[in-house]
Amino acid sequence: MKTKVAWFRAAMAAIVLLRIVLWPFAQLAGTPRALLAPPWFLRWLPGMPPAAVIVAVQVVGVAGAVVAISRRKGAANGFVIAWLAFLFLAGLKTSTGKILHNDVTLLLAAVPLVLHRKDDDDATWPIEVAVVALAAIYFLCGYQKLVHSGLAWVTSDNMRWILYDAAASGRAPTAAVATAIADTPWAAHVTAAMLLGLELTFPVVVFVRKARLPYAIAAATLHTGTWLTLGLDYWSWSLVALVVLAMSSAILAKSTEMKMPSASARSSP
Amino acid sequence: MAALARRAGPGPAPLRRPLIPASRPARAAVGAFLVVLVTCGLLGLELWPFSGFKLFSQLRTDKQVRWELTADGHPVDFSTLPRGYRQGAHVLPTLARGSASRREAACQAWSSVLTAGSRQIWRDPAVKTGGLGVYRVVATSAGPGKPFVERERVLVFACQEPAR
Repeated sequence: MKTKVAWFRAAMAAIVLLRIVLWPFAQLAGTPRALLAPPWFLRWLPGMPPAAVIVAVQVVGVAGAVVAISRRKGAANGFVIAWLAFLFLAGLKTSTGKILHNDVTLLLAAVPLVLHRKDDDDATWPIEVAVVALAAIYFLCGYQKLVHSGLAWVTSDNMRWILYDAAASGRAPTAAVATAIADTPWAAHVTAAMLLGLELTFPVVVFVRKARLPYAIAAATLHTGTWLTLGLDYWSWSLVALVVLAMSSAILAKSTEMKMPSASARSSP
Repeated sequence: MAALARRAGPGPAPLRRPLIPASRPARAAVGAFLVVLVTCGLLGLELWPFSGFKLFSQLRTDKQVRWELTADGHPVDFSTLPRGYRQGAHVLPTLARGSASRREAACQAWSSVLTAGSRQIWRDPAVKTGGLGVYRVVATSAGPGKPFVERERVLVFACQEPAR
């Protein structure tokens, strides 16, 4: 099975698998209910499930992801199982008090694949809808900055406060990058402007296919910078942007080349 | 969606792959998904994994408001606690607005986890100090990069020492 959507599903399943395996979800076991603020679909839980249950969900999720990556029969169902397991696990993680966005992009960009239940067909809409979802997510991040802070998000000392705070927290692998930018006001303003500009112009990728690869690289650079300066774990956003945008750009362009008749062929009777 | 529909409709490229789902239920599901995604984002609603996407949207200034749990007079570093407790600072405002029974349950949870870490949080009752307290702290700074100085500290609620 080597259709475009099967490859796309396999790549997204690989990211889901990494997220399920690499985070120590079982360590959440035993957190008392009083300290939890679960998302709407987990409010029925009496408390954090025991470690055995969490590990079992991880195993099921990994198995589903492996089937999806294999691109064999049942890959679509395997992906749905992996996605549901990951939704549950990431939901537990975000139940501990803070609304976490680390896994949101992967979960949302994968929804079209959950809705597309055929193992192998010619459809490319799951990839295009994922591009639309991704563009919406980045745009909305920028939009909310404008709603709550306006242009002062760029023109004030906002970015310098963020960076100094991060440098003091010790979360980042080094404080040198954050401090270097924060110590140079114009660099902090340029950083803020580039970040906001990238987010607000992200919908370009929906309409201009050639913009997809540059935006994927820009997004990956942004998240690498976020890790270096703030120490925040957004590598799944980078991978999702690269997979959705770069893959969609490459495989859909190839599809168009292969399937579109030439101009002369179209004009011939 | 309009753009996708336009590209998928009858037109000059009949051999292109459909860019919207072929079946009506799938089209409806995709439409509903995108509507919820955009509505939550525009209105700032949190229906996780749908989100209001307010990441770093609040302006940082020279004034900082933070919530603190103290044990025996010292701030608790949540990052040193078991993983499920590490976002504890974000739970404090919710607990402050919550019921007394939930606060009590939270107090018991903190008490047991801090005691398990061989930490003394309940001093001799005769001294009448120590214990667990939740504070709302306001601090200001003279400028970016300068240290924050505490201006206001309000005890929001205190935990009763559990019966021995």
